Amino acid sequence: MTSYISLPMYSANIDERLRIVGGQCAQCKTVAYPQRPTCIHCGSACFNDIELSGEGTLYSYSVVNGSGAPSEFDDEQIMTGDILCGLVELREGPRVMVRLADVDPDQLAIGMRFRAVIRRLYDQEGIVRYGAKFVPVL
Amino acid sequence: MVGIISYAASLPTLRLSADAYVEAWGSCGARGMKQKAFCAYDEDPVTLGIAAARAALSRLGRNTPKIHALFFGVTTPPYDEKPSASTIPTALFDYMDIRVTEISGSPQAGMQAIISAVEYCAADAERYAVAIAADAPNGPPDASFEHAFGAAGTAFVIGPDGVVADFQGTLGVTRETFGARFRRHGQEVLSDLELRTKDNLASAKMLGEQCSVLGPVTRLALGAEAGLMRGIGRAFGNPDAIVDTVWSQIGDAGSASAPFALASAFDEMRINESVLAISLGSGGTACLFKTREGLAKNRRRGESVASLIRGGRTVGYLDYLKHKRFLSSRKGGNG
Repeated sequence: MTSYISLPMYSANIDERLRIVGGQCAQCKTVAYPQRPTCIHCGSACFNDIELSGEGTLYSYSVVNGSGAPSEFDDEQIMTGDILCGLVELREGPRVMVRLADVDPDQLAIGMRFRAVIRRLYDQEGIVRYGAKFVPVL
Repeated sequence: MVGIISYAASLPTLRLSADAYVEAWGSCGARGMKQKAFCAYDEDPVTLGIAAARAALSRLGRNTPKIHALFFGVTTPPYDEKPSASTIPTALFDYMDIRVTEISGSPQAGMQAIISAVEYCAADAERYAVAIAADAPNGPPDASFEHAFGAAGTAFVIGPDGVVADFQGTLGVTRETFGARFRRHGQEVLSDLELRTKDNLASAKMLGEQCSVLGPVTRLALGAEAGLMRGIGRAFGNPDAIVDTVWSQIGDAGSASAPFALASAFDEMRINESVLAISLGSGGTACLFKTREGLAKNRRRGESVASLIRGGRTVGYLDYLKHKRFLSSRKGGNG
């Protein structure tokens, strides 16, 4: 199983991945991250880029253990153990599905504060895919 | 005068104690090292460089200038061809009209990045640049010289008025050396024939003979191993100079070693003190800075080197091997 993202698609939204750039609806100001074609609040298709804080709180989380991770994370899981996934509610509003890092599963708690850092997400097709992971705010 | 307007450092998240090598191999080949910082599975010099640069730029707050050039000193970039120096500004800036230069091939690369940024800004008083030094050298796990290899990152924002530290001058010597710390094209780990020819000390002495032209020095920043550091004050004709000790806490961070020691020195210095940062390897590069009135304000706005060293999570030797991908047959997808 894989969650394959093509390199053109990865490249097309590189600002989202490396600088946490979201879209702010020009009509109702609702913030979308990741960016989407239509505002979920008012239906407008007009967005302006907005650089988000990358800070938020843990809304929910899941621990992928065993060998349940998608294939691009397979080597990482074998080498380092559990893969931690989180639903983080950003300060600006959107809830985003992310990888969590630098925290043990038994330390996770709903409401914990997290911030985005840039890490190597995985290697695929010979290319290192950098992107945001979220680490606890100490 | 052109110089540093902000600075910051970064360290990877994991630590390995020297005792772990003693338990695993019977001894630690890095004499004097207490622990080292090393990259977790998802970290590398690019992520360390981004973290340091973000910290340095955030210290400037609303006074962050438009950056015209970025210089990246690194010996272990993820690609031989495809500049990692283009990944970093994508993560930092919302503009693309920026010159990027990647400097590699020697532990001097970090200091060379700083000097290149200074000289770039000195050529035009309107220019600002970021110099980043980040590195994570690798050796074969069954070689004792591997024991010292750690990782670190630093970033310095350079501008026409160096309110943190003025650039005073630079020195360089080049010596053809053989057998110490080399990596043929395509190889993943360093080789060292351990000939004990003391090439780095010889380079340091040559730099020391020229040092008087730069002016008085109160601190020396090398980030080098303990054996070399013992003789460094005398080599520079200044046995009373304060010498950094970061190597014993983070290990050998390659081209980031001297820049990291420079950041550590700035954390402790007062106004109007001078620090000579020196990197060595097939010769040497040295750069003298004199601190100014903006230093204290700048360092209050970010995490200190001492705090970074105290942080991190200590793991055992088996986890170290796994995070470094020594035990992976696929090398994270590359294999």
